[in-house]
Amino acid sequence: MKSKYLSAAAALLCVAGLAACGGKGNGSLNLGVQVIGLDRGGLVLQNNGGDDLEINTAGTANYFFKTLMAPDSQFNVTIKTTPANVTCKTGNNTGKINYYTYLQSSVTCTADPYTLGGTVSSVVNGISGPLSADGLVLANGAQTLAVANGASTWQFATPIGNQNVYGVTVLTQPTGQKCEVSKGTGTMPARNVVDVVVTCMKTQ
Amino acid sequence: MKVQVIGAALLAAALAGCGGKADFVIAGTITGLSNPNLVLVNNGEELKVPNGATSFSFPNSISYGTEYNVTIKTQPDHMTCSVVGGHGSAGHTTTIAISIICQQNQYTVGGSVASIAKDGTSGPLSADNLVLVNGSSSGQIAIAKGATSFTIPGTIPVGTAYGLSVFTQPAGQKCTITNGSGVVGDANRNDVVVSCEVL
Repeated sequence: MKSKYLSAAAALLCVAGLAACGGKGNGSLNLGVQVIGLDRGGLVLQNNGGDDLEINTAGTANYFFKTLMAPDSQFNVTIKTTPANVTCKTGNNTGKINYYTYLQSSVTCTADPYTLGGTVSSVVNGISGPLSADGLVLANGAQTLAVANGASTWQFATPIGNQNVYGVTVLTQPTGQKCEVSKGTGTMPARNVVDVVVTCMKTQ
Repeated sequence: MKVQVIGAALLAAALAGCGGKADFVIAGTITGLSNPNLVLVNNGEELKVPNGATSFSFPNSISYGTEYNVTIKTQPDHMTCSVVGGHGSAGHTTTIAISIICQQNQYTVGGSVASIAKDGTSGPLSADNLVLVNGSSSGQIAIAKGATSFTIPGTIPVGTAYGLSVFTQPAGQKCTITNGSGVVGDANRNDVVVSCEVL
């Protein structure tokens, strides 16, 4: 009689033990990831090589894997698919899940940056040549660039993430000349922009 | 006599032991100060703080139990500073640790928008889909049909450049911008002119 109870208890323990071991769907903790700086969809994350978590919304937000995990079981968040022209990296991505660690993982993404630049010329007496005056300053919003006398090309120092907008304007005209920008506005492609045209004419 | 002197010395030592120390320096940290002319004041005593300083301390220390109240007498050029923990009583904490946080002042940039009809009359923007950009700094700035003015979303710190250009022309119109570039000064700017000609 006593031994029957004992074996029943042992069977129960066995079931509990298996659940703890396998952990599949029997857990109670929701593993989360903080996704930072994502500007487009197409990111797929995995936990322990499975349980795909697809993220198709831009922005910074917390996301959770579908499968609940048993307390103290091991997690390992990895990136399965990165959106095109974006670089993502994981942080604090492994550990044993508990109340303090369930949302410790992060994935930080940035759009791959490319340079913005083009050509500059001065037209004097109908003849086009390199910039022939001092003081030209171009702006792309808050970003500024002083273009030296004699230059025929220019490029902003800080590259810009692809899919961002850009718009080049003349912040300061060079001495005695007036410059205009053409092809100065657009959306950053996944390559360097080299075709913005700045043309300067002598003022009367 | 000797006993009295020794007794007084012992008492002084004991008091120092209790209070920890007799004099307190009114001091603290400064973050973000990048312009001149910040002046702090504590109970009438002024302290000029140079551009770039990351800490400050008043020359005169105060004794245990004395109240201090550090405030901003003069804000630095183009900045606004705030004081955290500027008021208290000396000895309440082991050392007085005040924190001053400074930020560049920020202003808006905007202007007017108009459509010029074929007969030369000027009125509110009469077409859809006009989008401006401030380089890569402010995203897309959509201006709705019927608008007569616009403002770049958010604020821009003093000393920062801006430059507006047309990202998308409105349907059937061609817009040009005058006064579209500049550097933000100590006020909101409202002098950008977007003029759209009906084609």
